[in-house]
Amino acid sequence: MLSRKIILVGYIFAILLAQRENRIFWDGSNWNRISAKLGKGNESVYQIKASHLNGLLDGRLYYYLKAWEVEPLLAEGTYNDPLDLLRHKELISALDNFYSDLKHNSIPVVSAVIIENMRIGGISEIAIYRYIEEIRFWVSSIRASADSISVEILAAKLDKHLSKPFDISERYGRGPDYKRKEVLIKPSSPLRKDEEDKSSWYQKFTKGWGVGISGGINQWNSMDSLNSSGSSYNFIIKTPLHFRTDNLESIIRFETGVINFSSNLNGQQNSLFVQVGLRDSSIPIINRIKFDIGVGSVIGTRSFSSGFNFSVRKNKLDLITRFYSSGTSNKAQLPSNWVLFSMKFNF
Amino acid sequence: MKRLLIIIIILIIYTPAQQMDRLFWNGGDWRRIEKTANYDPELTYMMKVGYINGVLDARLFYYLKAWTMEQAFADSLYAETVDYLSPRELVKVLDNFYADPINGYIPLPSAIIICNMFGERIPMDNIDKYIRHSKEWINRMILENNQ
Repeated sequence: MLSRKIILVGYIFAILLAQRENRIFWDGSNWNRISAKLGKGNESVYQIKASHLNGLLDGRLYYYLKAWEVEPLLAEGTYNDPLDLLRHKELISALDNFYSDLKHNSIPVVSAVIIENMRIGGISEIAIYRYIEEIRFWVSSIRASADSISVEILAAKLDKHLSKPFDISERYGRGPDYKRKEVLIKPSSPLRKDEEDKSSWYQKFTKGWGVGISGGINQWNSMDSLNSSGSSYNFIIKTPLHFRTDNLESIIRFETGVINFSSNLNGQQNSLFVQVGLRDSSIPIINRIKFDIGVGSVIGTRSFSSGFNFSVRKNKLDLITRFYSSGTSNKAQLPSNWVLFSMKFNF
Repeated sequence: MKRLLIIIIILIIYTPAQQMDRLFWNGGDWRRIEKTANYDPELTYMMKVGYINGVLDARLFYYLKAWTMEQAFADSLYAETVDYLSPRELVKVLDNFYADPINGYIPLPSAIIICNMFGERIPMDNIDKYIRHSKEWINRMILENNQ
């Protein structure tokens, strides 16, 4: 029973939508609807109609002046219609008269203004009749094309809109020295080709390198051999062994540095890390997270680590939490497990 | 008597000087609509939408006409977006825009473009440049018109 109702409602919607026609300009039906809605003798009707006519004349003058600055001859040719031979009051009454004939309903108001001005300007009725028929045919053809290609128009419009996110042409205030920025549409991070090209060989070489500072604690569980805390600083090099797809990114880094435990164990630490993360998640924070697995040696003892890497400022500052396990330590005083918190500044 | 004569002469000289040659409707006219409509919100809205539709219709009509004559010219002249916002949204954004008296003498057709730029989230630098450009343009046009 419910599904029948849904089908019925859907059918009604489909019919209602199909009944709507693509109206491109204000035309006779809009013009007459104002009087029908507000009442014929109402002063407001005149005000609304006058507003619309003011808009038409302003729009025409505005684009005429704009066109004239660029191509005076073309502007003269395009905007040569007589539109201002009548005063507003006269024009409104002439348009009321024009649209009282129902067969003129499809003629746009802007064309009707031209027609009434042609009449006052002394153009012959035959020429006016021909103009009306031309306009009627023109409007019908535009409407038919709009009906059939409205989806394409919308798609083209969207394409146009997306292809010029910040593209306002020079005459809207950009000076001749303005350089157009090439911005990728929906990039995972905005890239500017100019900047990439400008970087020198050593900048490219050191890209991805970093320096870090760390601090950590070791009392992971009661079995740990020594209750000590530690700190370290290190130097991080991104190796060429990294790959990146649209969805996944993996980076292999080498770290070397100095580690210092409160139990007076000082020494070198070297590690190799593989960091893996997603790139194109719809949840932005996930794109900033990488999981971190590493092997190395700390004060001469093998160590394994796993961790969690979060970019606070993308590609500039990382916060890293790592859990270290040195397994079977042959140095009794070295803590077997510890957690290290690091901050890494990238070049 | 002599004083009165001087005052009358000053008034006669001063009154036309105060009148500004306006080419287009601007912020003053936009704000005045409310008063003309006797502060009736529905009528105010209808008048404003009527004006906006007029500008957009004239633009589209002459765009199509120019397009039949010279496609590249038409496409370059009418490149800006004016239909990103719906008329209802546009009326609201224009109200906000003209609430700032400094924008008062920007022509409404330019303000429509500016409001759509706001809607499109175009960087503020570019919008400011366009506003400045519009002010300079309308000043130049008025001066040329006076000459």
